[in-house]
Amino acid sequence: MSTPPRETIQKQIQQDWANREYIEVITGSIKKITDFLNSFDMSCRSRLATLNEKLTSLERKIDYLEACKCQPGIQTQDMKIMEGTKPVEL
Amino acid sequence: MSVSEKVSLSDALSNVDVLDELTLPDEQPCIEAAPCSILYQANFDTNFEDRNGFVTGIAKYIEEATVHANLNELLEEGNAHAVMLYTWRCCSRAIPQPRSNEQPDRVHIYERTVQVLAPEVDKLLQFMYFQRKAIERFCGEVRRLCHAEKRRDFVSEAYLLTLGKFVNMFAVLDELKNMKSSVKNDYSTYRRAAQFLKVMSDSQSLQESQNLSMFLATQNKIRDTVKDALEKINGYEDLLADVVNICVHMFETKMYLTPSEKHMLVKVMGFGLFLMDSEVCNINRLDQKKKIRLDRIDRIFKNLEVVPLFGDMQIAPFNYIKRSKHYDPSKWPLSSSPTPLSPQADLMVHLPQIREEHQNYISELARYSNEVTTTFKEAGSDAENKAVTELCLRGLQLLSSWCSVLTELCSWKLLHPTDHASNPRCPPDAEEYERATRYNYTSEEKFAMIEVIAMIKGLQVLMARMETVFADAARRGVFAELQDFVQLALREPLRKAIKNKKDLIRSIIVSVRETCGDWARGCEPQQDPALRGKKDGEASFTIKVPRRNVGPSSTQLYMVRTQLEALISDKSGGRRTLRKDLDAGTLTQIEMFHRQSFYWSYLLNLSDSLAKCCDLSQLWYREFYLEMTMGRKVNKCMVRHQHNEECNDLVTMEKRIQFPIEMSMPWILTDHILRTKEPAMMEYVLYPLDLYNDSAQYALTVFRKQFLYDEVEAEVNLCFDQFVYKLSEQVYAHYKQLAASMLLDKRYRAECAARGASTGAGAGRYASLLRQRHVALLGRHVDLCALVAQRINSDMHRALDAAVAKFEAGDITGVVELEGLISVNRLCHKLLSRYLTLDDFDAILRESDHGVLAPYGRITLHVFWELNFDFLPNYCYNAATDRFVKCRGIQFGVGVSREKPQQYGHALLWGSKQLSLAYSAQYAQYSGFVGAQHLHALVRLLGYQGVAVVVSELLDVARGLLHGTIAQFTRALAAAMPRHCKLPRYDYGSNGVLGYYHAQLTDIVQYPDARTELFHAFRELGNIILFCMLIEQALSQEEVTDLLHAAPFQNILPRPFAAEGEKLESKQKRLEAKYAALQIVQNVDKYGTAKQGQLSREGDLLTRERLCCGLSLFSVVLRRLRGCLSAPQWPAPPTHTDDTNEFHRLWSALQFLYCIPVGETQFTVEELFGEGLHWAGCTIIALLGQQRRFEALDFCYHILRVQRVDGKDEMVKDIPLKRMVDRIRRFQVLNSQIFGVLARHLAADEERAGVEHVRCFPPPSAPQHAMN
Repeated sequence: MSTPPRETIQKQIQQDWANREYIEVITGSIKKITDFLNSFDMSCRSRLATLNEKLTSLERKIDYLEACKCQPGIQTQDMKIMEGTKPVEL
Repeated sequence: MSVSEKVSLSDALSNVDVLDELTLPDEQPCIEAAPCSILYQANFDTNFEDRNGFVTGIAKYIEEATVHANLNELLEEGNAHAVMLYTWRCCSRAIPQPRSNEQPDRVHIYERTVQVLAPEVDKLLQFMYFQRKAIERFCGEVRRLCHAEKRRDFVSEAYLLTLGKFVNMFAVLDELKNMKSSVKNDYSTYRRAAQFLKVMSDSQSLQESQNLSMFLATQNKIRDTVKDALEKINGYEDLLADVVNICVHMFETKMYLTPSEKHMLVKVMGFGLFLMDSEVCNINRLDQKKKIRLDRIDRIFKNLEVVPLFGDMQIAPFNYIKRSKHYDPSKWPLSSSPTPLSPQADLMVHLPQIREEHQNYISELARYSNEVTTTFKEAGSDAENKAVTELCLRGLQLLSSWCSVLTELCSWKLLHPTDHASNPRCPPDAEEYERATRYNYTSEEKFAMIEVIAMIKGLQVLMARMETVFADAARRGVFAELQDFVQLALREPLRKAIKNKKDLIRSIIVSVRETCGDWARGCEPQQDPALRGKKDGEASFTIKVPRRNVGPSSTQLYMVRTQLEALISDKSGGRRTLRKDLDAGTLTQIEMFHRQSFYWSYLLNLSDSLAKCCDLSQLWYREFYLEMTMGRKVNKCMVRHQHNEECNDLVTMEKRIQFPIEMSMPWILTDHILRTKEPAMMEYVLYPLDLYNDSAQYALTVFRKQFLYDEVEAEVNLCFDQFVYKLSEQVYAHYKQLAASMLLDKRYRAECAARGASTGAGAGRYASLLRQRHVALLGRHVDLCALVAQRINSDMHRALDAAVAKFEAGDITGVVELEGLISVNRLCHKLLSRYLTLDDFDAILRESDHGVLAPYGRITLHVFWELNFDFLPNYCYNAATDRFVKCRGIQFGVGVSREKPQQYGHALLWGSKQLSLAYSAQYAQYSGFVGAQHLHALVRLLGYQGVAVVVSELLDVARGLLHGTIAQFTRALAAAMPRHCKLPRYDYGSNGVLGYYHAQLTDIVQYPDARTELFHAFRELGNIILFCMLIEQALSQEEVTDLLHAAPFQNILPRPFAAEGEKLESKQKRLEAKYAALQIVQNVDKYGTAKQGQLSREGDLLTRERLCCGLSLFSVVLRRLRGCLSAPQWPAPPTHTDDTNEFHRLWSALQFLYCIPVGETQFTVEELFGEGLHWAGCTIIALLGQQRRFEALDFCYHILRVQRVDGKDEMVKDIPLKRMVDRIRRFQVLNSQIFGVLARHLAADEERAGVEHVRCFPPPSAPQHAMN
């Protein structure tokens, strides 16, 4: 195999530099996208966790209120003593 | 955007840049290692695959590159074998062995054994072949380089280093093979089975099998083979001396980056020297010939006594020297003496420096990163790029050096386990691994390790955030430096070489330039005068060097560096060196370039280098210790006591398959923070846990073993549960203490502190931990905040439960303490609610009180229970102190038995032991009596509903008394009364009157049960009446306080003082304007929604109207009691003045009875029953409308009146008249007070005469309203 002329090789090497630069730029961009996705992930997790917490708290409140509603005769079981003092309607 | 639409590169790139501008808030403070869901690493290392592209390079080095490529592949293969050996777990122990030759299924067992083990055995066979091949290859290389012709030729640094890596590989593989006895056991199991089944039939495979078992069984086989093979090569020691020297040189000039590279250099020195020292060669003599420098190596070995070999295996490189033939301790003064201790063993020596480095570096980094984030630049200048690149390299080197300090410490500790003698905390029966880890570190060391880990992980996060910036700067910087050097700096030497006809130098320089030149015009400028050996003329020739964002490829870099090295090397095949032909300036320039460019490969591969510099995964791996402990059964002492050698409580545990978490470094460190509760370290607590991430990552990507990952995962699951449990417990206890000490009186707290009981909560830095919403663990993200909140929520429930249970276990006086406990919990809840979402406090309280599903809760029930069974029968009222106290001495009724108090942790009650003591001393003051404080507490705790329930239940009790005991006694006593009992005339004198009554009432006076049963019943009734009255008082006071608190918000202002001449109205107006901002209704109307406005108006109305009805609880009680005093139990008898069948006559008799003074030793009725007795009597009289008659006709009052007139004092029937009269006077006053109070409450009722209507007070109103 005969060696190609010097200039050709130098041109090839320069082309190689250019190609590799292109690859590096693309790689760098992918890296940036990765970073973005990671921070997007973190941010979403944080917000979802907050949301989840709010929902859980609401659910628990609803549970509690339902239990309160089920209480037998909370409205009727009242202040036995006070009933005598209710104004008598004439 | 449609798919077919084309996007230009610049558009795509700017799209990527725009991503930066999106704000992605993450509110949690960063106190954990870099979390990453996606890991992106590009690897451009071609392993010399592209070498043929650089045909312009010098052929020798291209050839060498080929050799390198092959050798690298072998090294990689060797590493795979090392991993295989290290992670080998014994299989044969799990395989059943046939017990006898007659066992019917033994063929089946053997078949299965062969089937299972065959693939594993194949790996071993491959390993044997590989080591043969590698040794052959290595010796081949050595032989080639030591050939007489080439002996003095230049051998490049990269080449020598690769040979060093081979030496290292042999050392590692040999040690691993020696260590793994399970490999041998597995193989012999396989062989037995295979021989039985005659699997290996042909002689060749039999031979191979024989070889393999010999290979596995012979210790140090690889090492000895290498040594034997090398010794046959003439002059090999010179080459090895070069290898060792280059290692020493690189070690000393810090030409390495990762910790493993550093350790590799040291291992090569040790093993290299061992290989050199033989029959033919004496290293001591080489030292004399200055071929090697033993003194320098000695120092290195002392500084680094132990290096990690593989995983948790370590090796003392000096041991190689000791085992060598010509070992002479005098040559190794430092390493051979045990003192002083190697600096490696003491982390505390390094800590101050590490701290300082860390601080300096991160402040520099912070300054720079601020600059980067605030300004946008396409690309920095060359100088900037160079500075950033240097900054980045320095960061990597710091990380690496901290990491090596840490791993070296761990290695040293593993090789120097502690024992019972040197560490008393270490039990004598402690396991080997336990002695090497768990008991081997002092508290300071653990803290120091945590700190260093935190620094490493923290800086890693910071650097990873700037990775793109760093990588960009590194690529640009390296490119600029390389091109400037090649295109500009090498011009002058090239010119000189051409001019002076130095062909070799010229060809090397030209080759360097052509290998990596990136010329502006595509090729070297032909008109450059330097190429013709001429200086630049008048018209100065300029070269414009282009700039790019890319570094040289790995092969390119290798070619440039190696060729330049050839220029400056002082060894070149016997002839004079090329150095001599270069001038000094050029030499230093080339040398400088050569040194700096060493680090370029790391910088160009930044993300990989960063990960490797921070890798602490090996702190978890313990395959070596598992191998040692595997077969053994573990003895464990299950009794807590001071262990000694003759411990009899040892229990033999199951065979170890994995160590418990207490011996695992990551958990030891995490637990240490939790155990000591050191506030300064609290924020670091997630860093040691990150070691598991490292280990798991290593298991998956390097070891590639599922079972290791599973084990890490299992341990993490366990540890994290423990972590959350301990953390939430601590957080809760801390905030409880904080709340408790906040509520404690300040001066009282100071007093406590002066007596050595610290009631403060101490610093607790949990805030940032409690804000962690996504902690990354093994790819999972855990919401730590939610987990802790969940636990603390249940702690809250349990604490209130405990408070109520504590109340239930005591008498009614505990109500004050209960209120205190509830308020501490409320404050604790408030403090924690800043960070955590907890249930509503009132909801928790009601739930713990069991008041959600029932109309009244545990507190109300217990209050009533106590009132009924303890308070009513046992307490005596005293108006002077306004308190009920227990009658000392005599107990009426059965003793009260309560549930035994359960034991609760301090955290559930007051937070800590000291606080519990302080509070119990405080609340002890409230025991033994029931007074206003208790009633107020009761009212606050029970609320309207609870008070109503209690009072109505008490009324039932009162009815029972009036219809039962009291009615019966009344009837019985009425029968004993004389039918008529007149008021004797004054003429009889007071003594006569007393004598008359005494004679008349003798039956009553002598009635046995009067003083006990009857008075007791009256006291109970009286206590009920008093309690109802006092509770109403307390209730009203609370209401008034509430209203006064609410007043400023409702535009109810106190009337201002107006001096003469001032207008009251204008002053009032000004005040109103001043407090306008406080008025809720108006403000909500103004700023809120319609619904909010309505709500606020309703709330306002509720508050305003609260007292307006003027409902009086006590009046109702009295009316109810009057209802009870009717037929048939209380028939209204026909009245006649002197008749004694009315109740007031009976009461007069009883009054006569208790007015008789008692002796010194007897109890008075006041002592026994208190004023409840009088209240009961007077109330009944008042309700029956007999008050006037009682006052007029009472026997005692009559005696008093008569005595007032005659003033006599004498003993009448053993009764001292004067003392009796004094008593009568006292009770008269008391009775009239009682009647006064009752009259006030009954007055309204009387007027209404049966028609119930309500007293209406106008609502308290502001003048403004009045005007409207």
